[in-house]
Amino acid sequence: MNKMITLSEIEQDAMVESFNISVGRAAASLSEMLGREVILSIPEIEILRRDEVEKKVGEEGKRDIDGVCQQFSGPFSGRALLLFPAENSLELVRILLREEVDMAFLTEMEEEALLEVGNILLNACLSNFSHLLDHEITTDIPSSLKGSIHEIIMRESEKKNEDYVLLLRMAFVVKEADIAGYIAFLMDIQALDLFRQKLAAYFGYSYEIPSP
Amino acid sequence: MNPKKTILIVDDSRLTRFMLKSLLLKNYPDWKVLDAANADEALKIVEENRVDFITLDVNMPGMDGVTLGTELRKRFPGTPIALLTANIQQATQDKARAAGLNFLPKPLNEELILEFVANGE
Repeated sequence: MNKMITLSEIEQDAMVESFNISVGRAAASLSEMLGREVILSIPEIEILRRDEVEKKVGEEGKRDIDGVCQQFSGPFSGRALLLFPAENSLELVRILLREEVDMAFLTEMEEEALLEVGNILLNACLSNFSHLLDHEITTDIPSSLKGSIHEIIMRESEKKNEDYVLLLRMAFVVKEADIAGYIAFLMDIQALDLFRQKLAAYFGYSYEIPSP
Repeated sequence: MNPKKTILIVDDSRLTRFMLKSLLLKNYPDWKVLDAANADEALKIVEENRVDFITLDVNMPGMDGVTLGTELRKRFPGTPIALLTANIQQATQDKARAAGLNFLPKPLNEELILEFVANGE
């Protein structure tokens, strides 16, 4: 079984700060798209083994989700996930289009719209990481996901044999609309180590890649 | 009064094509707005139509927007062509500049899009 990874206090601070900035940029993009204020929660970051995910996400993890997955590669590789409760997605599309369109058209556009929202949000977040870490991060075409948070994370991480999930629980709430979402990152152990190393270099604390 | 122009939107996202088309037609009701979901469709459209402006997404199935932009720039040296992408990294902006393309970020920004069009008229 893979070992548990515990972040030191300074690493925890560095991750919170970097995700605060990066998701903040993503939230600014969402706010611009929707023409509404987007409120962010304080990020909660944990690095979990796959087998720990179910326990950690609890009851919340059983809700049906519409998600978007964006594969990325660069100094470290993995997948970024944007997760919205399924019941929110139609409302999101309605606000996004900002005009009276019929329900049939809204429903028809729902998946496309979520993909594009995911594309813009996750790219904003990854672009900010690219800027922070001074390295290009390339992204693939986003794909859509359905299921519960737990099912999605397990299914997606198993596909690429990613052992660890960097679970970032940072809720963003669209003001005057009942919409909230989450972002998660899936990485294997090597990518995770490189990510931690890059963050340490950026913030100026020491970090050594652990021996296997 | 602006003479009628034709603009081609190349983006695999139907939502972006829909929103950009609405934005352009709101400001230029007489213009012709063509759209393509990938590079193959775009290349066919430019063979068959005179196009005055082009916007290109970067991440698309098949040929990416930077490669397509480089090809279109060779064929149409005077046509304003912009990458319109969520990938707002400096590296992507540098690639646009190197290929002789403008850069427009997503989400769609009406002011920047109209500026791109106005500068090209």
